[in-house]
Amino acid sequence: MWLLIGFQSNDEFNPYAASYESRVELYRSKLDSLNKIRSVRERIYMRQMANLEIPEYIVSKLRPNDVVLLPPRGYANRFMQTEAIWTDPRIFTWMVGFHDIVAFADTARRSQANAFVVLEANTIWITRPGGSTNIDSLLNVYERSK
Amino acid sequence: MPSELGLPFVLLLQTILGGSLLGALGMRSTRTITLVLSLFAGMFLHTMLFFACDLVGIPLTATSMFLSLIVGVLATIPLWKSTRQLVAHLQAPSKSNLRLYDVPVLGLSGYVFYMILWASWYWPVTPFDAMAGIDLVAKSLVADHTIVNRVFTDPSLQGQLSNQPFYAPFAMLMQAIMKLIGFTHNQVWVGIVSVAFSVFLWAALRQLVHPFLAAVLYLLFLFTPEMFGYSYLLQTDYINAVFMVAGVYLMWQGAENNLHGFVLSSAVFFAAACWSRTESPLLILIGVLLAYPLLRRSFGSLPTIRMLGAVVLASGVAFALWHVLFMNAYLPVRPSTADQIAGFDAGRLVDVISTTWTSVIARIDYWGIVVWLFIGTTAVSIVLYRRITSGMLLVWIAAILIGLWFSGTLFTAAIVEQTLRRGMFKLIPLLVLAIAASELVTSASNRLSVWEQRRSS
Repeated sequence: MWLLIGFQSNDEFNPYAASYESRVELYRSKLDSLNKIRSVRERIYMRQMANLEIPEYIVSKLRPNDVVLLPPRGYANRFMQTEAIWTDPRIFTWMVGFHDIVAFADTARRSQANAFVVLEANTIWITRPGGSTNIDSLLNVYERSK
Repeated sequence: MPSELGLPFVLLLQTILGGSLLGALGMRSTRTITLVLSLFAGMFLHTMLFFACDLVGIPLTATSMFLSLIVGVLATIPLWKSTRQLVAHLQAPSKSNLRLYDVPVLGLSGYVFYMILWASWYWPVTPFDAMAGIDLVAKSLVADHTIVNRVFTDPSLQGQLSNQPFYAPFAMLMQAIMKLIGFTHNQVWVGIVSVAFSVFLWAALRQLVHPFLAAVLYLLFLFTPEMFGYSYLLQTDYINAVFMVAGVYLMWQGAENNLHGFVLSSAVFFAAACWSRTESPLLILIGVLLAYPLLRRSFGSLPTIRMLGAVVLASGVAFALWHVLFMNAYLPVRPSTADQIAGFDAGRLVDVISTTWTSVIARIDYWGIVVWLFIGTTAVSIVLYRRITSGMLLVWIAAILIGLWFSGTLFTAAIVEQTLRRGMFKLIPLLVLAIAASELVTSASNRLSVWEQRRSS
């Protein structure tokens, strides 16, 4: 078994070595530094990165009567290195709790939305009707990138 | 109660609760196997009692969580006679058969157990399915004190639920219980179950073969890459595999040793399997049909029909409580199951079977050498000895495979590379047990024991 785990081996034909390395040795080597991170939010951030930061940002910018339309995942994926799972209303809710949001796929409630998420490289903001962004154009971009 | 005290308290009471039921059903096994199976049975029963609180309108809080468990334990007092027999059985002095070569095995697995427990305690919930379902519902349950919470009623999630929040409830209820104890963001119970299950398999293997061979097979299981990866992740598959394997193990041992109590106890774990994953009734039904001739050989027709009837009834009740009663009479929304069931298509079945082999079963990077070792030992045993000693295990392995293939064919949401890959978790421990029970390995084990006795005498 010791040979199967192959502590020094990076041989791709030995799955035990790679599995042991990534699931035991990696954590062991970082155990002290990881244990110093006490905040649950920080631990979630380590795994979710932008998928946590973006919902937090959106919620921090909400006004009392805002109903936010979450963009389709394809649109958000264009600006993220990881899969933009935050666009799923269940994941958004898991990250930051219940808020007035509408999934892009929710065609029945989409018309109630009055706040929209705009993404650009390294930039995110909330736009509202009458603002600098043309909402119809944004919705067209959303639709095309579904 | 602080979470550090609450957790051992709950685990202890769950073990007593499960042990009382298994004792009443007549299960008597080794100390390790009995204690681990009692814990698993207790977890299952506790989630059912907690669920029952919601059915009768009692708010789901830390108080009702603890009280439901305490009431459950108190309700087993009429079973005290059989429980006392079980306790006496556990207290009976037994000669330790630990060997020197067990020390490195225990050391290595202890180290791995620490990492599993640490990871399940340290990391927040990460799988998409768990965040979108199990953990989301559990979080809202704790906030709203009911399973019928905002996840199912809030307009923001209306029509956006897919099937994840409607998963069979065991993992969600255990997650809620842990949150109520104080473990709000992790999945520490998953690590506890994985460790306990590994210990169970180690003890089961030691009953079958020489401790040295048992240690080798145990380590092969422990380090099986894909199962190892899920030993600290919140998903329904690993826990479902635990219940399924416990049920099959008890039915197998019951048939081998003519023990009614074992077969009856298997009903508890098959019911727990149906309480933890939705496709389980299909697998159990196929398994029961295939296992009937083998059980009849041990017990005769009528007792076999009675015992298998108990298995089917318990599984059916566990399935129906959630999927029929709760979804129809309590939940305001229902998953669109009709959309998720495709009609039977023989072409798709053939495709699922071939993809399962190439993309799942034959993958060494997922299962290490376990699958190939099983095929090798079974083939050599048949050729050399012309005997199959673990018929019941092979029957259940076939039943689970057939069930998974049909699930992959019938359910559109079942993706071979994901759903059936995780469905293999049910098979891997059974394959390891079947390797140990094969004629080839048992005869090698016998020779090893004889050689060891000669050296020591």
